[in-house]
Amino acid sequence: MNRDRSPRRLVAVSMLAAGGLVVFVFESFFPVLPWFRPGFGNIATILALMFFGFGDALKVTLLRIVLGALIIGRLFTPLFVFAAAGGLASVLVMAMVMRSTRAFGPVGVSVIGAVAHNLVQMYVAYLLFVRSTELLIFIPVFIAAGVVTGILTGLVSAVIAARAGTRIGHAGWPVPDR
Amino acid sequence: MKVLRYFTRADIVLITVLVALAGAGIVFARRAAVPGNHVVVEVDGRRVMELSLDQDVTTSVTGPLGDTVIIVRDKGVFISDSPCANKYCIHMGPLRRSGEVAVCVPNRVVVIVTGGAGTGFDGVVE
Repeated sequence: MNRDRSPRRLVAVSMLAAGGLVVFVFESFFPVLPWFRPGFGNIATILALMFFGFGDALKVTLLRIVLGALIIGRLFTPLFVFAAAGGLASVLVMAMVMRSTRAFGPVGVSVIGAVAHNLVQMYVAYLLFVRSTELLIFIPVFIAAGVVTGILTGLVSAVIAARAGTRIGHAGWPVPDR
Repeated sequence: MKVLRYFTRADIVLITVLVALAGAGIVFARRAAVPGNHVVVEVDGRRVMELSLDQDVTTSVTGPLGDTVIIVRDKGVFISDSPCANKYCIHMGPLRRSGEVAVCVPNRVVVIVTGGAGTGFDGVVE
């Protein structure tokens, strides 16, 4: 765990939270498909995980989920419950993966996070709203969508880490070469 | 390829496995999907209505938010009006194949196409 208590770190984490929030809100204006969004706000979570560890990544994610929902006006609606469950699952799973192995780079971690996000969202939909096993046929589609969006967000995270890494802070996770 | 340097070997293995899994799942689901002949409508997990796909009809069910209008036309079924804010369920278009689903989460309505040839499988390979 990163023990750095410097203002530099506080600023970096705050910037990541704010940046992720802006991207999240901006993204919500342009739905590719109504129920499908690439989740670029997750870049902030991945960078926070790479540079500052689980605690700060959780803060960045929670702030984005709650403030984002407040801004786009869906706080405590069903969609908010989905997003919150998916976001929390994804940061938890990504942190566990990063803690247990260094085999995956930012792209792999991001793909795992995106797939976890989608599957947990679907599970929550099943538990809370539609208790119908017919939802199962969506699993392959959700996995495929998670792979695509995970690769995209992971690549952007990797590029940002490679280019601006030293300005964000000291990486506790291998940063790809430029 | 310049972007490839951002992928570790484990990343590539992971992506390949997931794509193969998803592809197999989608192919399997397509194979298993035959034209349906029956529509089941559930509200809040309870089966409230059954319709035949062969008979054109306009009907509605009542969920927590109000009435969801369901139309059967030309052996397909679709949600034509719903009291929810997003209207995603309407955009799901007409469903024809067995196993296809339209869901309106806010109004807790699920429309499922069932039936068709026997079990839904068109053959078993041994």
